[in-house]
Amino acid sequence: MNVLIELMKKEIKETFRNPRYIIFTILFPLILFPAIGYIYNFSFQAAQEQVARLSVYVVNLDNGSLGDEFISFLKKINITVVEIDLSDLNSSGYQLALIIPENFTSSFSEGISSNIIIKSRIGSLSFTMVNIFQRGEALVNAFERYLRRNIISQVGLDAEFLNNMFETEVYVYVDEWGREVPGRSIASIALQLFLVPWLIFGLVVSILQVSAAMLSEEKEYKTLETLLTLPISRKILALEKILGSVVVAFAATAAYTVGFLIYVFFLGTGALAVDSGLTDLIGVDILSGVRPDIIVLLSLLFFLTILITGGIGLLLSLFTQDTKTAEGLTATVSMPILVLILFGVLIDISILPEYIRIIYYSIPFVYLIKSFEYLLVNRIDMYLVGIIVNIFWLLIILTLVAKMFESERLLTMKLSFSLKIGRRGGEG
Amino acid sequence: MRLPTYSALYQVRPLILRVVEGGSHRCREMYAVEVMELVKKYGSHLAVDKASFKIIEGEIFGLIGPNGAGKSTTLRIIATLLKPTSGSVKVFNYDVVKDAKKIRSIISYLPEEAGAYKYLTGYEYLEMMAKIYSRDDYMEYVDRGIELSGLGSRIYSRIGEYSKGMLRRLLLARALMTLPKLAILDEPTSGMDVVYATEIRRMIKRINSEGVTILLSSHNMLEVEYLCEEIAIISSGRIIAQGSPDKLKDEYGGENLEDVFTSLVKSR
Repeated sequence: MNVLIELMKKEIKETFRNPRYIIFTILFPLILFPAIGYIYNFSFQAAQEQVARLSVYVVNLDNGSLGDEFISFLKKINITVVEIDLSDLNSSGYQLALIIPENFTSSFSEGISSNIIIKSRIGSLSFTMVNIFQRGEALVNAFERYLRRNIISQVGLDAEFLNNMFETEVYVYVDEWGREVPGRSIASIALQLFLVPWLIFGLVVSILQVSAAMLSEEKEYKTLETLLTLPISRKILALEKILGSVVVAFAATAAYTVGFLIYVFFLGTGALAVDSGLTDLIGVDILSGVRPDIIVLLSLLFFLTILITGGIGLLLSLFTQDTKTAEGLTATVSMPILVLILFGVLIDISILPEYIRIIYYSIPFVYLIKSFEYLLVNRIDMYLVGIIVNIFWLLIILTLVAKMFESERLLTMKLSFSLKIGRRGGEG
Repeated sequence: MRLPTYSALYQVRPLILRVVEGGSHRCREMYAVEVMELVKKYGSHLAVDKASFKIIEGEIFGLIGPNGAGKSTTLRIIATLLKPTSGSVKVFNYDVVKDAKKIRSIISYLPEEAGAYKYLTGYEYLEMMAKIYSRDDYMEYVDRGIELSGLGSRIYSRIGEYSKGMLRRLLLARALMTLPKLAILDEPTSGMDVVYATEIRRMIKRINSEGVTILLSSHNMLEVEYLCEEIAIISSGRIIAQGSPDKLKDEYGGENLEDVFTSLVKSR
């Protein structure tokens, strides 16, 4: 039994003194899950609050009285209703509008389903955008239930009609996009918006690991000291490592750009394109492919972001003495990027306070994460903004990397918690 | 009358210089290394404590001491890898802080735990290193490196396939193939069997005879006694004794260098 306890003690010490385990088993769940939870909560709460405050614009084209009955019902359940003419709707600044058809009362009397058009207007595409038109659908459903409870019993209509009194037809106008899409396509678009950032996340993590390994491998295989005593300036050495990242960045950019364009091609020819009119976008044309200027900007954005990622990887490797620690550290750094992805996808950034938006848009990864969305909404100008932000960060990171190579800390620096456990940098 | 060869003259030069060393400032330019009041701290840990010693150009100098005495730190400072906390270190009159780049062009350094790129062949490794030193004469370096390594046709195998001894020979060949003015060798025969270690000692002697000053550290006292003309013993970061092996044996009354070393370190 004593032997077992001693062996267990050894196991626990070995495990919990290894930075990799600390990161994966303790820091990862402690930071990541609360962060994801907070973002989900924040985004949906923000969307719900926004929706609850919304005024509902109603265009009542009904020739009978049921339309008025619907409006009274909405007011009765404390909805702020703005009655408006159809011709004024587009200029009204509505976010949620219901258009009651001319035959609303007559169809109801004859036991035929009639079509209520739900229009919603959103600033930018995000996962929470579906909340608005779902609110419209919920109001129509509530009116149906109200009718079933209070009116139908007196009229005596057939059961099939009772279950389907009104059809809804949803349209979403996206300000950023400058066009209206059928509601049935929104879910598909949202799915794509979620998928592409995840692919980019995979790219960022792999580049981080490769670049961090470039230097930590030199440490682990004991080649760094020799390298640093060769008659080569430290700036050249730093440049060599950065160019190593550039080669990786080139290969990754080429692979991702090609993959991305093929992805857009399939998207453009698929059912989603037919539904949402993607093919009409300026950025995507199935016949001629993506515009060359967009390819250039997108490639440059990819390249710069990946280069920054490589630079960060090199900086991280300063704190590591071997590739395993480098992997653990890159995993930790990947977490904020992951949170950023969730943030960008779940939340309609345009509704956030200005200072948060400024912080958000000064982060270099944002533009690559949202590159597909920008392509979709034809915000190619955002590629340019992204390129400028990325160049700014790249210069800072390159300066830091060059300084790092000038310093002896390149050899002696370690993660502080491993320093306390292990030996100092300069033994002997 | 047959004149002595340049190589033979070069070998006796350090001895002559040591004789005339006492008091003559004219010999100053002959020092390959001058370490003066060197202090190196890592945080609060004092790794080297006011160490001073000089190495004359052309000699084989041994820095010996127990584990953690400050040998590797001192060698790393001379090799421009680390900066002194205080004191000064000069290599051929160049300051290790101000003239680091210049020093790197005239020295080569073999760390105790050195490795090489496992996916390169031994030949590619030597070629890459030689080209860093000279784009014109690199083949001369490579040829010398191949010969020094003694790896034969295995020089074309990937380094990842080498045994520990083969790797060490390759690394030592890399360090010596350019005939640097100063070769700093940290435990050159570390972890090697007797046969390999003997070969390496011969290699060091041979390269020294071609004019390369050698600074080495070692745990092996027999090796130090065989190779070095001058020795400094370091303990807890301080130089506690310095002299030729014979002088140290006389001074501290030991039968061999091992006795001298043990009694000196224990007395600290």
